[in-house]
Amino acid sequence: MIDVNIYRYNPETDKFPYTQTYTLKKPEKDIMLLELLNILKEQDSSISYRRSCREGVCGSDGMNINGKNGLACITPISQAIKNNKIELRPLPGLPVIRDLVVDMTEFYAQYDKIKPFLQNETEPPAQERLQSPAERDKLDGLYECILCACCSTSCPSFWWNPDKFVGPAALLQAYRFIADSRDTKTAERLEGLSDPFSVYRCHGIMNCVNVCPKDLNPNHAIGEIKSMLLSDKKKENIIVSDGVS
Amino acid sequence: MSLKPVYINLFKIQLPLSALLSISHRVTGILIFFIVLPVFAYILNILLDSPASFISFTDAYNTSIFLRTFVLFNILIFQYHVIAGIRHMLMDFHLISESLYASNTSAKIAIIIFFVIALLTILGLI
Repeated sequence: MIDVNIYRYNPETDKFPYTQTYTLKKPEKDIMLLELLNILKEQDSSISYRRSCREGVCGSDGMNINGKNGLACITPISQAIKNNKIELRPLPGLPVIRDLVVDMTEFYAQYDKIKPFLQNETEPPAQERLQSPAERDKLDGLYECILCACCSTSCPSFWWNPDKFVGPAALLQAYRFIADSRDTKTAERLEGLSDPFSVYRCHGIMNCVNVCPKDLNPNHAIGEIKSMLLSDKKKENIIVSDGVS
Repeated sequence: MSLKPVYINLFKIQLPLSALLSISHRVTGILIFFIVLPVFAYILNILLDSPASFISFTDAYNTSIFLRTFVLFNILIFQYHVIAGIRHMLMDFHLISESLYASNTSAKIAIIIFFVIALLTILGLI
């Protein structure tokens, strides 16, 4: 038998969230956590969670599994069980709508802020904008993000300033377009991130890298953005000092 | 509209070693600003005030285990902050790679260095 502790909150009936324990027979096969939740939902149809693709592509079922954010659909129960117990809680730091479903408005607002689309004002060529293999290689490890919010919601800096700190997920995407050879708005993108909060609230605690279900490294992208901002400032200072002399 | 609950339970959420190092670095930074620096400035003021006050403070320091422990804790906080801070700067300069492994290993090394220096300080002062 295994105990599954689930964070429960229904705004219509509950004043405060509480933990409900479900005891069930351990499945013979090493099924994914999402399957386990589906079994539980047959017992208690009031349990709410998001899910869609059930194979780690859509990023809907991000949740806090035994204290670590991850996708329920690609986490086998053998990996999640500790002392015959599994604790499922919503993604930390975002307002809970119901049970394991969180309000991702703040997360998407930050994503919107970094203008997640290619910007190029030059005349488009007849077929497509070409890239060399080396230029394309720079996007590896950046474009694969599925926006599940596991990283941003495990980041203490994002918990403190969800409105001002862009967060690891959106910063990874910001760097995805900064690093893209076809994008011509690099300077404007960097300018938009140069305030004290957007990037610099990251103190490299690495929880984003620790939890990413796609094994991406937002911390590396943030480091690259910081370096580019710094070299931009250096250039500005040289121009200013040249002007004075 | 009622306020929605937000789940943040630091006792339940798993944080890597590098996170604990970073958070404690900030906490010690606050302690240094509000406690360590004022205390050391005050002690320096006593020591430099007059030869008599210098002797009275060193006498008190030699006899009171409480005072010695208090000063020792202040020194340890400062040492911890400096060591964790150097690691942070090395990461900022990309001298430590931004992988989870490198980050956790450098955090372990920083803690070991702190314990060695702390031990030497304790042996030297007590």
